[in-house]
Amino acid sequence: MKITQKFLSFIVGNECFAIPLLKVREVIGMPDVTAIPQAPNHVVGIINLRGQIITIFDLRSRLNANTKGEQPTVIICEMPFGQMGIIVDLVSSVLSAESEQISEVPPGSRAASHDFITSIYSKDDELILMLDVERVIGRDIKVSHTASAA
Amino acid sequence: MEDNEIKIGFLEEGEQVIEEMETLLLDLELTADKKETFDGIFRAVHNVKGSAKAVGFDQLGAFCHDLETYLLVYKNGDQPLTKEVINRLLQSRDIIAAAFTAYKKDLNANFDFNVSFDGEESTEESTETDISTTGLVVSKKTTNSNDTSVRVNLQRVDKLINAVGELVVLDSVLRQQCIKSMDQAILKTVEQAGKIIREVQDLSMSLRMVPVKPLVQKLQRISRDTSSTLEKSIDFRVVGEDIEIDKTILDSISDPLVHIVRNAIDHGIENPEDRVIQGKPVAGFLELSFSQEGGKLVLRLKDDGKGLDQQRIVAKAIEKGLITSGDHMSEQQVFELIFAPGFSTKANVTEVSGRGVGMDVVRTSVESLGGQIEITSVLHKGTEFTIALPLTVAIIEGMVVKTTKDNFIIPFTQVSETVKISDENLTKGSESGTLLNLRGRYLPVYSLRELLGDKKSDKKNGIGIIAKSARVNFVVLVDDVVGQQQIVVKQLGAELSGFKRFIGSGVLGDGKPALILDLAQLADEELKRVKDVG
Repeated sequence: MKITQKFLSFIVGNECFAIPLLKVREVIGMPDVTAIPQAPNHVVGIINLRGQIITIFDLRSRLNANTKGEQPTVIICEMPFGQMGIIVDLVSSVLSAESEQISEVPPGSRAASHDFITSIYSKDDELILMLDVERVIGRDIKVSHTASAA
Repeated sequence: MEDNEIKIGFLEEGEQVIEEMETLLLDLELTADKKETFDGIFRAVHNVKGSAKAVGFDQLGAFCHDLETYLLVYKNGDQPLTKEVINRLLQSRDIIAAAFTAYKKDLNANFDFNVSFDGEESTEESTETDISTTGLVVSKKTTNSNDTSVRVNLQRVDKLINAVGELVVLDSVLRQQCIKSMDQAILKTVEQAGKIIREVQDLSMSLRMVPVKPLVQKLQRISRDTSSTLEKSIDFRVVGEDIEIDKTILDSISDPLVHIVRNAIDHGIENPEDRVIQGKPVAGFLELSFSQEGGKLVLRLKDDGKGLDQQRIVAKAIEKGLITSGDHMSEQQVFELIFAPGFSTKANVTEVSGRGVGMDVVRTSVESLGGQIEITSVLHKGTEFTIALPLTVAIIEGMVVKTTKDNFIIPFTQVSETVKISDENLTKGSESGTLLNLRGRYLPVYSLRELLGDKKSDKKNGIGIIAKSARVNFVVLVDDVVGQQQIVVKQLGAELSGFKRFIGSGVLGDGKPALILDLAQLADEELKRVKDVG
């Protein structure tokens, strides 16, 4: 039996990434953001999403993609500690991936040095990096804790 | 699984019964109509016993059975209900309450009911009485069950308040847009909708309000227990106990109040002999009042005890190394010393109070709610604590201030006044920093821009906000005060919880979120930073 999982794929810089669709709450255009003074660079600020205050995180600068996409998009993700928004350059599509299309990150590759890249998806010529959002952001949460303690 | 649900249900319902039991027991001492009160207690015990056995808390059931047997001896009024008996009953109630707590943590907890009753062994006769009362219990129960309230999870209430808060913001946006359109019909409808929205807002806020009665009961019990341990006699009165207060505030104020009530009985009220010598009534007078004054909840605890002894406080503070000398200290400043961490006026630690947690914890709790605590005291006449708290923590009255580009919110409770500041009224020095001469008092001035990490700012004109904080008096310089507004406080996500200087966030009139500042925390961080650098 084939196991099919759904992912949301998006572009940051010149690479394509995907996160499990179940983690995605909604996708919105770039909202009006209130900056947080002295927050780590990746923490852009807070937004008011229908009365809920949500922290926005810039995945582009976190992944060192210094692109400023023409129409950056925010993906609101469900995180264990609440909702959070991540800024990406472009949302591409919903992807149905069968288990055999997902493989391990090739050892020794650059992607393997990032613990937040869990696996890769390949079909024909397409290559998509599977991202663990919690890990990407989790590291910076600790940063913000220590930043304020210092 | 189902078994557990029944058990949980029992624990939730039973909680009310044991609370009621406490009130009744306390009443038993005062009321003339002992029969009815006693019957109430008997019913409560009987109810718990029956239900406990039914859902499978056999030990608890057995304990209640023993208690019931013990009660039977006094039920017909043959034997007098002495203070000892009531003490005993209160202890038993505490054991039941403790068992509830233990079961709540673990449904299969093995609770140790290590109390036996000296009452007569249960005889055949008493078992009969037991059965005959069962019918009575049931009928009473049905007549009493016309309770029309619903228990709602606080999170749901908060969600509702959030949604309504958003509605209020949208309403003000809508109103602004409507002014442009001249359509009378639309204007009228928006006006009407606005009225209803405000009504819904008031209603939803009132959902957070809970009666203070259970807290009062707890305090009465503590007053009773404390005074009997210390062999003092206390006339504890409560005024305004019908008031309702915000659930969060009630929960956070409970422990501090317990502490100051205990303190008043332990340290404030004299021993009966001393009171007689001074010509005071034997029973110490202690009055707790709740009132609503000018948008604030005010709690007062007044006693007619010995009052605060300034000389002793100063001596103690010097001994503890809190100050070096008591010269030039005003009465109020001396009283403030009792709130200092590590201060306790009584020479030896007693069973009742003085276990390390002191008045400093009381003050911190009150201030973390955005409130203030004040003391007035006259030697040999008594002491009065006044605690002023905001009516709710979910909505604050805030001042919207402007810095470089973003707006921030400062809660009104942190602001004592605002002054216009220009270069001329500031004194600057490389060591003293920037100071403002405010009616002869020099206060340090911090620029909000600098506090928030904007190093390049040299702007010294603007509005000075004099912060109201117990620790340091200081001025925060902002570019401008934009306005004031009611803010529905929203917690920041866990990812930002490291930023202690922001209490939360709120949505401004234009729909944009703004951060709510904690001025005292900002100043503390700044002082720490300056110290580290120097």
